[in-house]
Amino acid sequence: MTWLSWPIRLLVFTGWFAKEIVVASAVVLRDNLTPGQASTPGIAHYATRCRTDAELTLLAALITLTPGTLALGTETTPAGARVLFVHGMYNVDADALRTELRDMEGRMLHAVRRRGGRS
Amino acid sequence: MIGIDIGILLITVACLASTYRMLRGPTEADRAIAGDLLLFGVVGLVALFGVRAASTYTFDIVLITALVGFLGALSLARALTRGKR
Amino acid sequence: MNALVTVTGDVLIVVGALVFTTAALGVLRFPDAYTRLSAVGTAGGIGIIFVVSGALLHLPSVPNLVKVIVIIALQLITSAIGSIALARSTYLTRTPLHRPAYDELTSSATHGK
Repeated sequence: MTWLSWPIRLLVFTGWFAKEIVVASAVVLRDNLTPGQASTPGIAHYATRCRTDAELTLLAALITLTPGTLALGTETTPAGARVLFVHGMYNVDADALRTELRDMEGRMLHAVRRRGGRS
Repeated sequence: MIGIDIGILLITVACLASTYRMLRGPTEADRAIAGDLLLFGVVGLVALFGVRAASTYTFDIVLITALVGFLGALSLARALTRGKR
Repeated sequence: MNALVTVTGDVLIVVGALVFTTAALGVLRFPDAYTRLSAVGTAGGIGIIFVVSGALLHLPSVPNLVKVIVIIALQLITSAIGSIALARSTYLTRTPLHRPAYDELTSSATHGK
């Protein structure tokens, strides 16, 4: 049953991500075209829920593709959790950026894993 | 046809701006990033000039240019760290 | 019909070229290397997609459609990997951040290898 919904979940995620790229691009372009700087840049430490390196690589690529956020590097904690360092431009603080990343990661994991599930 | 000419003009302006950033700096990373934009600009220009000439091979050449541009970006990143790490 | 396709192609090309110009403006105006890299990302992602799709509408055929799909897929993958590589080297060469609101990488022990 969950196997059958896998291609549908992938398609839904692709559509959502395309929308997200357009929205984020519009934010960057608007800041670009209006005078002054509206950005609050910073680097956040984000502990991912990815279980394999493939999932982590995909997540880093998707974060970088979204304009305004940028994956800088990774590390693995002694406990085995995979950690990403993310540079964000339009979030008031690190927790706001982490909330956004958690939403995107959950959608990605649910789409990519054949059995679904977000954790 | 006029749209292609406008597009060529705008991308050329973008390439000139990134060349200015490449010459000005201030840091080495800024130069490398401006170089990355220049590579993307070249891909766009190749596509537009190919369409303008109505060439059959336009998209093959664009594909190869995009892949060479990717190698260029990786080389820039590698050169930035002086080949270490 | 044919004219409509060509005009749509023109519009897509001009929109894509405008994305390029605003990205270049960002490279000139944004304060530090990381934000400039974000601006370049818009050109490498949707800028190229718009320009190449517009070019396809000027030379429409089935083989060209296949090539354009391949170009867009490869462009998305390679621009992401290229940006990550550049971002990582930018950090490793100790390029300063301009007035960061928060920075949890410098305070981390391993400096993100």
